[in-house]
Amino acid sequence: MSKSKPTYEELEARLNKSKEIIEVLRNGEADAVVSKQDVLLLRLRKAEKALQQALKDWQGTFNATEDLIMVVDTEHRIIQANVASLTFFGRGLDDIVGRTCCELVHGTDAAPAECPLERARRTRQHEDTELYLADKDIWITASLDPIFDDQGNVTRAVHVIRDITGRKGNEEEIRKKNEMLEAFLYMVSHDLKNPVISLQGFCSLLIRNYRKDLNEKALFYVERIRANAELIADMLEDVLALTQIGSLKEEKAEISTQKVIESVWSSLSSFFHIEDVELIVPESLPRVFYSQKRLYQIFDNLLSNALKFKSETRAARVEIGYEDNGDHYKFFVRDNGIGIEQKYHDKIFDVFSKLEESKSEGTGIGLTIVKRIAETNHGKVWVESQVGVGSIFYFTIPKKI
Amino acid sequence: MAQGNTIILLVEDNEDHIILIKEALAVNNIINEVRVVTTGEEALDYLFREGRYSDPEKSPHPTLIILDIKLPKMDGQEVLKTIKADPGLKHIPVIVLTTTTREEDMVKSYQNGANSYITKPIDPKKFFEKIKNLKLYWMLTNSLPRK
Repeated sequence: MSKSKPTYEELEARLNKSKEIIEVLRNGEADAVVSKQDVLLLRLRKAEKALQQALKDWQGTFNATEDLIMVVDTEHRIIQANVASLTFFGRGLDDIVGRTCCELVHGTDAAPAECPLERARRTRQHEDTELYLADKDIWITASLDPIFDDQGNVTRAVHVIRDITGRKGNEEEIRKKNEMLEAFLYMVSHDLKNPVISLQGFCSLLIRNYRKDLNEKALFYVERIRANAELIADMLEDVLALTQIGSLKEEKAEISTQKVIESVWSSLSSFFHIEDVELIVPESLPRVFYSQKRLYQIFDNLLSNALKFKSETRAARVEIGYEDNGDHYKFFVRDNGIGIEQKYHDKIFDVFSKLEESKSEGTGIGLTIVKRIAETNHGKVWVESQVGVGSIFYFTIPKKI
Repeated sequence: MAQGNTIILLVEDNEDHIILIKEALAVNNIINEVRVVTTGEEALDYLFREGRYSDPEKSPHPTLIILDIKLPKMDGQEVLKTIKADPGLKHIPVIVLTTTTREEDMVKSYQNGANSYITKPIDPKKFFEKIKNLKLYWMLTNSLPRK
């Protein structure tokens, strides 16, 4: 049997092997190569080393974070836990692996209703929740990221628990301070009202009962005192109104926008000469789910503004309208008044902002009230305006869900 | 002087407001005697005839109570609740006075049994109007003062 010539494939295989050997020698991985298994072994060792390094890196990272990180199976049993977890639970790794996180965190066998793992199993995506742990008096966020097998089944999950007590504490502090500020504002404006009411009352008594005893100048002064007292009273009333918005459960109901506008317009007749004003209202306006009082306040403030800032050169026209935008209504109040400069378009909604140019009397809180009402009711308010042309105020009201 | 035994009990701690309320009553021709007490405790003493109000002859039950809701120490709501829980007093109409339009106060007042509610005079004329209405509603339906 004569040895047949090697095939092309065999020759190529030999050549590749030689190349491998040459490479190993050239890299200094070995001084000499005795058999081809040596090369395989060397490669394996190299791969193992890289793997060990990766494992060390991963464990270092795993243990370096202050968050609790655990790998759990779908039955909530812990497979892996980092050092932060061991410290938090005060247990060794052996004492943690195999236990459920429900048992360790909540002291119960069953998962709580808000358990993100239960949710993630359904949604197959990242889930998280905020929890208060009464026994430890801390707030945590618990998040969960599912791990899938090759078939796309959720087999494990990474469970991260973060202590957010500090942040929660700050939030709580801010909330409390806000509450205190509102209570303070309420008290101050309330207590300031008593002397203002006295001022108004006595001025009115003077004017009514002693008119003939006062000369023209004295009467004028008393009238000025009364007017100023009234302005203070209005401002206090507005500050009070502002502190009240959203502070109590407001009675919402299905109400007629039409009726609200009618009643606002007729009440404005005692403050403005509305006979000269052209009011344009669409034939039908939608019914909305809102607090009647709050909608009244919105239209009262917007329409008062339209009348307060009317142009001196042309007949005043005020138009009310709306758009049905699917999930919400967009209302507008358009006037042909003096208009507002672009740079003030946001500022006018800030509390006590009165534009320098404005000579009209007012408390400067009206639009802030409108904004507060719209926003507490999940709506928006904004203005489009051009000096000398007019302004359009928009606000939105979500439809009843 | 009490006229036909018809007196008004005014519970109000602000001196100025006492004057203004009395003026408002006078303007509306309500000339009944007004007994003024300045604290909630004193109001209950009067109504329950305790201490210096023990003589029913000298301290007759009022036909109307005008009650400021914001009083030092025991507040108006407490006074109101106590009056409306007492079988001998609950028939006396109570008008609650306040300086705010705060719904909470109003709702609470009505829950506690207030018969009417007045926001203190921003515009005195309106205040007089309300008092006028009250004269119609309450004074007319009770024993009228004889002129």
